[in-house]
Amino acid sequence: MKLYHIIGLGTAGLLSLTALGFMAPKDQVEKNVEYKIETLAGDANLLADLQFESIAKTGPNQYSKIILTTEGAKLTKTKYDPLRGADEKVLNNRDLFRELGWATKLETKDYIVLVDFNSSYLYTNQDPVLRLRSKNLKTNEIVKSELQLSDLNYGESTLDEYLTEYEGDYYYITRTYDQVGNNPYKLLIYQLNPQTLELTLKVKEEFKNETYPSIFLLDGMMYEGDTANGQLNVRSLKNNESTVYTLSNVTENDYIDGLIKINQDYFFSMNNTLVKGLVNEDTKTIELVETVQPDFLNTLNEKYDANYIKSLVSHNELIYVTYIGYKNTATADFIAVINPTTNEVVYEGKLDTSLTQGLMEKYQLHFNGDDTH
Amino acid sequence: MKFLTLIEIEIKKLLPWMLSLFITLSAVSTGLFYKLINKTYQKEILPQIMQSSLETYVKENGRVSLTLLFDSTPVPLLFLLSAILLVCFAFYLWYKEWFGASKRIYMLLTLKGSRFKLFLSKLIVTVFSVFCFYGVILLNLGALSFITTLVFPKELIADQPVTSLLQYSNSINLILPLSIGDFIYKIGFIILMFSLISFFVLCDRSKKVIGIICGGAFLLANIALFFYTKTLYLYMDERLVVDYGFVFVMSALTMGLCTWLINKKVSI
Repeated sequence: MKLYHIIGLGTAGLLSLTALGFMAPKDQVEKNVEYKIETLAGDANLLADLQFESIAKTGPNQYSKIILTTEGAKLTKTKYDPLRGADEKVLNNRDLFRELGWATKLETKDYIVLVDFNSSYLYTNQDPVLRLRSKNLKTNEIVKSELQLSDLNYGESTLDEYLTEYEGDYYYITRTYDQVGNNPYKLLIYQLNPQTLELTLKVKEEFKNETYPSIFLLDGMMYEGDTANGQLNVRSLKNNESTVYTLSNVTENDYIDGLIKINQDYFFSMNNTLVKGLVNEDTKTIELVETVQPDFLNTLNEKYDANYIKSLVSHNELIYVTYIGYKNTATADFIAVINPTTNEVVYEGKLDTSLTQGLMEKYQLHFNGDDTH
Repeated sequence: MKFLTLIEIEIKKLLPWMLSLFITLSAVSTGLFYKLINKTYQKEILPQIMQSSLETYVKENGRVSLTLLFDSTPVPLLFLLSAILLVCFAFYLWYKEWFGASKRIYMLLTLKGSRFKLFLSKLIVTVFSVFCFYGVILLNLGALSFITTLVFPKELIADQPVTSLLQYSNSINLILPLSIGDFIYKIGFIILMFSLISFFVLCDRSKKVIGIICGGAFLLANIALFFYTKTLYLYMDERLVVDYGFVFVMSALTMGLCTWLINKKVSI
């Protein structure tokens, strides 16, 4: 019997495999010149202390860490799990991070602490469980704990969770709501022992759900920006002493997205605009005045479908603000450096984040020598 | 009857279906791709270029890549469905023997020696047809790249569209194996799918109603086990071990069951 069909199919199949073998990308990191910070205005030396970090896909199963500075981009091969969004640190600490990849995380020089309330409570299960884990970075000891918060009633779940550390004391802060609707909203502040993962209740108080303040934690202080009532509540986590400031010129439609403190003044990211808060300790008021805005905001507003302030950081008494703009075909990151003393924008730059770069995560801003971002 | 002759018979049966699938897939995917990217260009990109210039657009947005266009259309899904359909032709390869006009299966089952070569001939043809499918996909990617040049200005398109797509696309690795490890896994998966289909058919041909129930139950159990492995919280390298383990253990088990059925249970 003539075997024309076998020869035909065999040849076609083997040719296909050969073509695939030639065309399949080889495992190698190629430096892509598209990764760069473009200076739009000002002195690029002001960025000398900082770098942007991200992870890009640089091969079929290969990822590279990008460290982007004003001098250019440095790509180094890294481990990354796209399914879990897990970077090298997570993959090297699997026992710590397993199933808690998206938990609230705090990393200090002594500990990594993770905390996660069971968000599917009452939806798919009946376990109001809080999972806590910590790793002692000096001894590499990992401690795990699961507990039920005795301060929660049946049906109460968490709205949000925060972790912070100040002078060796660790705090777990959460706000709760009642899914059944019988109990009021609550704020719970616990002191957390990272060695034993024991929680000690420090504060338990109610708040009204119509005023849902944004919370910021800085240097042992908890800031609750309540624009609905036009107030900023500044609370010391150590002794729970609070000072309430009245915010001028705010409406219930305003929302505080970010807060930093430089000297005695506050800077807010409010409705994605940078605003300065001038404090008057005598009258306990904060007058909000709009600061100078970077010129690239015009481009962001005109040429992008949406934009917002991504991060607000102070460093060397300068304010570093990063913005992100979205449209269907592209995204873009921008950075502005503002001198709060002179109220000047001293640097404006743009990070090329075109979709062809294969970025797996948004750029994170880091300053040399610390983990600020 | 020689083993090669069995393969030749299987190819003759499969060839018209395979060619029809490849031609339909090529026509539909290229047509759909042209329609969708033309719409993107006319409605989203061209108005922006008209407002400024091509150079400004490229400076602000970067160039358009085939990867981005490919991943944003349903074309990868079409390719994936075609691959599944291709393996499902195994039903036809088996049932054609029983329900075709010639009833050739009765002659084949009376041949001397192990009947496993009947299974093996169909498996080899299926695997080689998948190899050809890879070639068709590569040709289609070339066609999609060509279509992109027809729709977009040359200055707007990123360099090396097809090789870049193979490197950066998030969906192409569902269809094409881009490393030796992935190639072995995908071939294992095809063998498993073919074996499961064969097990169902051979159960059916062994015991009418109970056979269909047993075959169906085994098929569903495998699907359930497959999805169960996907629910495990595993990182990528751990998942690789579980995926390989599942595919090769279940393939070996199912092929063993198929051999037992075709040699001991399927009767004339």
